Amino acid sequence: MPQIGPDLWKVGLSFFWYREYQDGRIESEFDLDTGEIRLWGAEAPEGLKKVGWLPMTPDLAQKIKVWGEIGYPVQAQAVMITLHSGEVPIIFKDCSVITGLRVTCKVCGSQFQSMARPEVCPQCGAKPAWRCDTCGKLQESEICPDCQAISRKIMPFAMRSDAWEEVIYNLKILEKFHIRFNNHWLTVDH
Amino acid sequence: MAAVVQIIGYYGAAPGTKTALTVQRYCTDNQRDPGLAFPCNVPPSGMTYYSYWVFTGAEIVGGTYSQLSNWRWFTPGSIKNDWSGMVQVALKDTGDPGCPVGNYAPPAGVQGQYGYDIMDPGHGVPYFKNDVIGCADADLYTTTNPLVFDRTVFTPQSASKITKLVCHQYVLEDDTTFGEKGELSNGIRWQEI
Repeated sequence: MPQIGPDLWKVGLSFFWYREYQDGRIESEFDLDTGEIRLWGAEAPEGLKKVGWLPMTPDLAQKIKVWGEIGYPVQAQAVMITLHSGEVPIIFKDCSVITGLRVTCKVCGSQFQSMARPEVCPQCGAKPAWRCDTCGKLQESEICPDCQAISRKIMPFAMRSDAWEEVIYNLKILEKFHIRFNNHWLTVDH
Repeated sequence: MAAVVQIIGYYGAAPGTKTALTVQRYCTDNQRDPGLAFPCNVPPSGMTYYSYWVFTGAEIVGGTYSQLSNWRWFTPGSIKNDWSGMVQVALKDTGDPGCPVGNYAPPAGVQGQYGYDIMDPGHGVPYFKNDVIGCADADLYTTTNPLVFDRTVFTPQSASKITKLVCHQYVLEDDTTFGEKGELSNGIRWQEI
């Protein structure tokens, strides 16, 4: 559980960093045999050849649990770059703790998290409508087009407060590009 | 590896009491969540009322990490629309807009009626009230444009592991809708390696 107490947060990881040196040495955020944690350090070390993020495997998620870490196995590609001469990689996670809404769509039953009151269900497209008190018809405007009566708003969503975490993985080379991703999307800024 | 982070507020008389947050309510008392007691009131015509100001930050309480930095705060950007009225957040002319814990000022106002404006020249927050920049609309700070409130780089060796504090309050105009408001979403983000 990423929320390890009522008010305590420790993010779970779907990816972990990896670095390969020019002399062939390989290091990663977790020892692949034992799950032991390795720190990246304040800056990237000298002599790196490749760097990036590897997806968490079920096996590694079990191993890091012993060390108090949380892993979410994910089926995704590694995000890896080969470094050119003089390039210094910057690698970090953007971690967020968000208090927002858990929304249940009354039409299709899907649940999703949202910071704002949703306007439309991302699964089935349901959105708020108005029911005319006079003729009972559902329509998209507050004034019934047939009766000209003011209608009642019908919300297709049930909402309750919720808190969750988000992690965005970052990999950048200064003044060249910045990759951001999670297990749903990836963007590159040049 | 990951740090263990607690979202905190500060309450009570100076120097303030650190309080872990699950809920933080805008109200007219120096309390984290008095329920429906001490509500924010819709002001008389032509006037503006404020909630007591609140402080929100984070504390690193454990875990394994090299550095944590770039602390940001964000809202859904729709408070004015969802609540009517607005939330204002304090900024600084120079430096981080977060308030160092040592500059905490107890939330103040007329209990049960209204709080003082953060920028009130007489009663506002001393750390902010003399700055020219004033407060900003919290709706400006969203997940894609968050407020960077603390640029401190925390390491396991850092003496303090508490961030600066975002100072914010609810602002009610005479046309603010009466009634209990829904929960306000917000988030805290940090950079971790």
